[in-house]
Parts: sequence; structure tokens; C-alpha cells
Amino acid sequence: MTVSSPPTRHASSRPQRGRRRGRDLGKYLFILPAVLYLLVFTAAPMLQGLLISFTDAKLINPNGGNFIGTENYEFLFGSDAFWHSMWTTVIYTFITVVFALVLGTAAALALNRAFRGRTVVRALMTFPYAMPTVAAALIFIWIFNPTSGALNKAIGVLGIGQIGWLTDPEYGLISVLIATIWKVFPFVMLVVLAALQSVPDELYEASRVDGADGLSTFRAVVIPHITPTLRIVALLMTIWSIRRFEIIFLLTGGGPSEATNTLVVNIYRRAFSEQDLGTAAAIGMLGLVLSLLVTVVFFIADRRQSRREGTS
Amino acid sequence: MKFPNRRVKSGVAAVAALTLAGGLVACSDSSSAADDGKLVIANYQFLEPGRGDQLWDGLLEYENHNTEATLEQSASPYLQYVDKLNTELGAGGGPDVFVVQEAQFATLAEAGVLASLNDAVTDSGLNDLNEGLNVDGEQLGVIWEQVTYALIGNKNLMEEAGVTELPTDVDGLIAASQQIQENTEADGFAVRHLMSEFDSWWMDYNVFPYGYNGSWSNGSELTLDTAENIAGLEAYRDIYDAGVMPIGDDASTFRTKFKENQLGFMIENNGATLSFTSGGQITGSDIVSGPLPFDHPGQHQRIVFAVNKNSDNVDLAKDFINWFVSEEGQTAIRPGLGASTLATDVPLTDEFEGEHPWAPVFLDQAATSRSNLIEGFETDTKAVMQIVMRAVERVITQGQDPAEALGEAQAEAESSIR
Repeated sequence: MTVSSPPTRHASSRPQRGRRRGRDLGKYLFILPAVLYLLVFTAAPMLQGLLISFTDAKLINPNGGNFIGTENYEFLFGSDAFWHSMWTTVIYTFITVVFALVLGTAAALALNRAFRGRTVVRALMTFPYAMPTVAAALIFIWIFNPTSGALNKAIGVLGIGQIGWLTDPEYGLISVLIATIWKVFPFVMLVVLAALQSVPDELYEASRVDGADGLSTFRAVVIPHITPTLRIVALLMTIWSIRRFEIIFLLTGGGPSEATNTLVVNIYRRAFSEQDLGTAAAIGMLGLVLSLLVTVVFFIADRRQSRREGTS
Repeated sequence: MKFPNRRVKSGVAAVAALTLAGGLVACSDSSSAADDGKLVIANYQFLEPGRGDQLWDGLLEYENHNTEATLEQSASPYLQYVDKLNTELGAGGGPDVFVVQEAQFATLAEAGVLASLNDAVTDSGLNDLNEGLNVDGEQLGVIWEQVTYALIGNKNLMEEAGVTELPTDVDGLIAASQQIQENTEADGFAVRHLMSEFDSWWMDYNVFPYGYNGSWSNGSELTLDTAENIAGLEAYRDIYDAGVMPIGDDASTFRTKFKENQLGFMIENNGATLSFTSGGQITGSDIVSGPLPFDHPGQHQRIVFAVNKNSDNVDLAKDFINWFVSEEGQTAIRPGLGASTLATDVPLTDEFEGEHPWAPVFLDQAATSRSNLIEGFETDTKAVMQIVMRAVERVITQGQDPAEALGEAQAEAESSIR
């Protein structure tokens, strides 16, 4: 084989560079619509929200607020109600994510096995996720109704007295969590089920040949295979839970006695009931920081995990 | 990957251009959608069963008066209506003509989004109720209706339970409600009590402190924790704790129960009471009404009709308002507004009084009822009432002492109403 002379190599690299530049241009053109969309509908409103958070703007005149520096943030940091709201959000998010992951994964494992009527069961279990949130909230309002609700009627048979599921502060958050987990766990189930169905049969076969029992197969084959899926689902569930509004607001409006007043409900109350857009925007920014914090922690953990897997 | 050919590049460019154009359209000023000769009228009451159609039919009479004009209605349920209207007006858009609660009117007036109606209401015989809508010499709205509160009872259930007349005090109300519960399958009494209905709850709740001569301010300072307000909250708590209320029912649920002979008593406004007489099991003559069971007058809600300053059809909207406050307009709208007080003194018809014997009590209550706006804090009324209602919620759900709860509310309001 002969080696090309330098001038020839030089001459052939020019069109290569041109092609590479063209390929890069093509990539940029393909992502341009998404970037524009995000700039118009995400970055711009977010920037405006940030600016409003430093003003005393009212809802009815969003652009007419006076600049008040960090006054809104100082007010929130000194407010017990705000910290209570933040804490409620963290608890609500944590419990929702944990229960949704456990129930969703368990349901997916059950549905991954063949049994008669599996299609019907799968459809039924997907139903809560497909149901509109407003309809689900209305159904739960009826179920939780203290005097005529199905839940109190049922526990009444067991001799337990009436519980104010949506009117007693001790049960307000529990009730909202029950409704939320019922609504969102099928999403986890569907995603994990898809991951389970992508586990190659050969791995199960090899595991069986090696003499592994069911639990060992689950730990050695299934868990490693679905862990990346669970990680990303956990991240999504966390972000969605931090910003969830409809079902909480429809069930309790943030009550009883602030028991379910999460950050997003707090934003709504501030902006719409109290017309205080500046403070509402400041709460929104702090909520965004919370979401970003979760995302950053997730990606750091994910990178470390990847490194460990790479070195092992 | 091959370099995209010209067709692909064109496609990508087209998608980008469309996205940009879509974004720009979405960001553009969403001003009123009204065309020449068309007015968009917004009112949550258009959705109310029975009287919604009646109200709209009354307003459509304007199209006979001005054949060049067409009216289009914009309606959404009350809880969404307020947010939607505020957001639209804040963005420089919104309907041409709309109704707003008095508390919201004060905010809109201060924000300068309402058109002056001075030249539209000259010589129209507006009554005194409209004076509060004149801000610095500019008439920024006219009364759509003033609704008042009274105690109403379901005559069928009262007869079945042996309750011969409406109670006149809180103890009597609790006793009569218990009598209804013991002798029928129905609930005794209902009033709003859920934070998820805050926008209406605070207005309904006001009848309690007002009934004990309470007030939320002295004109210059907030007075949330006065003895009168505490007494009103204690009365509310006593009824809540008496076991006569369907706790957990929202207003649409317990109102339906009243219509279906499943609820004995309510403290209710005349607008809702009129709606009970259609689509249910009761007629106007099945409802008995009486003064509120307190020593002092209750509150009223003034609902204001206003014109959007940013409307493309301000002149037409003013012409519409001019017709609305005329004898012709007021007479057209009267049947739908039942026992409310209107912008001009239009009497109830004999026919209406015959069908709705409960109605005159509400008009009597209107003579002495008080505004739900907090004097000196008009534009902060809802923010203050958020704090008050959180205190009320603590009392009824956590058993907090009313004096302590309102004391905390006072401190919170002083620090947060800035």
C-alpha cells in the first residue's frame, strides 16, 4: 500500500471539513425548532418571572410593579407559612415517589408474568393514569366525604368512627397522597413493565441453568436491568410531584389548616386570591431552585453510578 | 450520516420559521376578540341552570334596540371566572363587557383597566348603590345586581319534621336543624366551610361577624380580633360543631340537596335561592325565608357591570350600558335577577312575587345590609380575608380558640399586608 503524499492529503481534507461543517449545520437546524420553542415558551417566561419576583407587581397589572429588590425573598425566608409550605412539598413529594415506585414496580412484576385475563387487568390498572385529573378528584371528593362517602361507610362497618378525610388536618395530606398515588403509580407500572419486557430471555435461561432461584434471578438479572429506568422514573416523578397542582387544589384548596398547602398551591393563592404576583413569582423561583437541586443531585449520583459501573 | 439535501434543509427551515411564527403569534397582544358591531359579554351566571338562559335572553333584547349589534356570551364557572378575567385583563385583553364582584372591581379600578361610563349613564336614574362605583368623578361601572343573604328553609322538610317556623337565633337554628335530622332523612343546615371554595366562602362567612356587629377595619386600621368578630366566629363554630351540617359537602352538593328535599336550612343569597326553583323537586312556594338569625344586619355582594378599557368596541359597549340602565334594559333583565336590587329602582313584578313568596325578605334585608369590602383596605380585601379564613379554618378543624385564632390573624395581617 502506498502512502499518500502530504499535498494530496491536504487537498482531500478540505471537502471533509466542509462535509463536517455541513453535518454540524444540519444538526443545528434540526434542534433549532426545539431551541426556539424552549426560548419562547420556557426561558422567556422564566426570565420574566424572575424579574417580577423583585417587584411588588399585582396580577391585574403584571408589568406595573415597582422594583423592591429582595424584599419578597426576605419576606418568604422569614415566614413560617412559607417554610411549612416547603416542608409539605418535600413530604408530599417523597411519599408520592416512594409509594408510586414500589406499587408501580410490584404491579409491573406481577403483570410481566403470563396469566389468564392479564390484558384486562393491565387495562384496569392503567385506568387511573388515563382518567382526567378533574374527574379523579371529583370521585375522591365523594369517596372521602365524611358523612356519605364510601370510605367512611366502609370503615363504619368495622366499627371505626367517621373520619374527616378532607376536613381534618391530620388526614388532609394522607387523603391527598392516597388520591395522588392512585393516579400516578400506573405510569411507573407501564414504564417498568416496558423495561421488564426488554430483558432478554437468554438471561433468565442462563440464570436458571446456573441454578439461581427466583429471588436470585430477580436480584442478579431483573434489578440491574430495570435500575436505569427506575432512576429516570424517580427523577420524573419527583419533578412532577413538586409541581403538581390540580389534584391537590381540587381536593382541599391547600387546606384543611394548610395541611396540603404545597409550594404550587401557595403560588396560586398568592397570585390569584391575594393578587400578589411579586411574592408568587418569588415562591415560583424558590420552587424552581428545589427542582433544579433534585435534578443536579440526580445527575451527580447518576454519573458516579456510571463511573462505578465502568470501572467494575 | 449524510449531509441533508436541499429538500431536507428547506423542510428544517420551514419548521423553524413556522415555530418562530407560532411563538410570535402566541406572544402577540391578545386584545379583545370583538369585531365591529359584536360585543363579548362575560358573566359566570350564564351557566346557572334556569336563570342563566333567562339572563341572556334579557340581554339579547339589546339586539332589537340596536340592530347593528350582536352579542356573544363568554361564560365559565365562578371559581375559574375570576382568575380568567383577571389574567385576561392583566394581559391587556378580555371581554368587552363583564361582571365583577365589588372587591375585584376595586382592584380593577385602581389598575386603570375600566372605561369611564360618564356619558353612558347620564339621566339614567341610577340609584344610590352606584355611588360607590364612581371613582374620582368617573363612573367606572354600574350595578348588575346586589344580592343579599337571608335564612331559607325547605318547607316540605320543615312540615315533615314538625318545625313550624324559621328560627330567629343561632341556638334556635341548631335546634330546628337537629329536629329536621331526627325526623327526616335529610341534613339540617349547610353553609360553605371548605378552603377549596375560598372565593365564595369568605363572602358567605361574613354574615356571621356582621351579624354580631363585627367589622374587619375601623377605616384606617385592621380590626380582625375584636370581640364582635370573635362572637361571630364562635357562632359559626357552634353550628359547625353541632353535627347538623354535611361536613365536606361543597356548595354545589349541598345546594343540590336543598333542591332535592335533602337539606333543611341554609343561609343563602337570593341569586342562588332563585336557581333552586328550577330543575329540582321544589318550586318557589316550597321555600320559606326569614331574616338572618342574628341581631345585626348581614352583608351583601354587589356585582358590577363594567366595560373593558382595552375593548375594540368601547363606544358600542357604552351604548350597550346606556341601554342596560334604561327602563327597557332594566325591565328586560329583572326576571333573571329575581329578588336582587338592580342599578335602578325596578320593582318586582306581581307575577314574580306570586311565584316566589320568599323574595321580599331578601329585599328587606338589602335595606340594612353592609358591603363585604373592608373599608380603607378595599383593594386588599381578598388578601385580608385569606388570612381571616385560614384562622376560621383552624378554629373549626383544629379546635383553636376563636380569640387566639383571630389574634394570630391580626398579627399576620399587620405584617403581611404591605
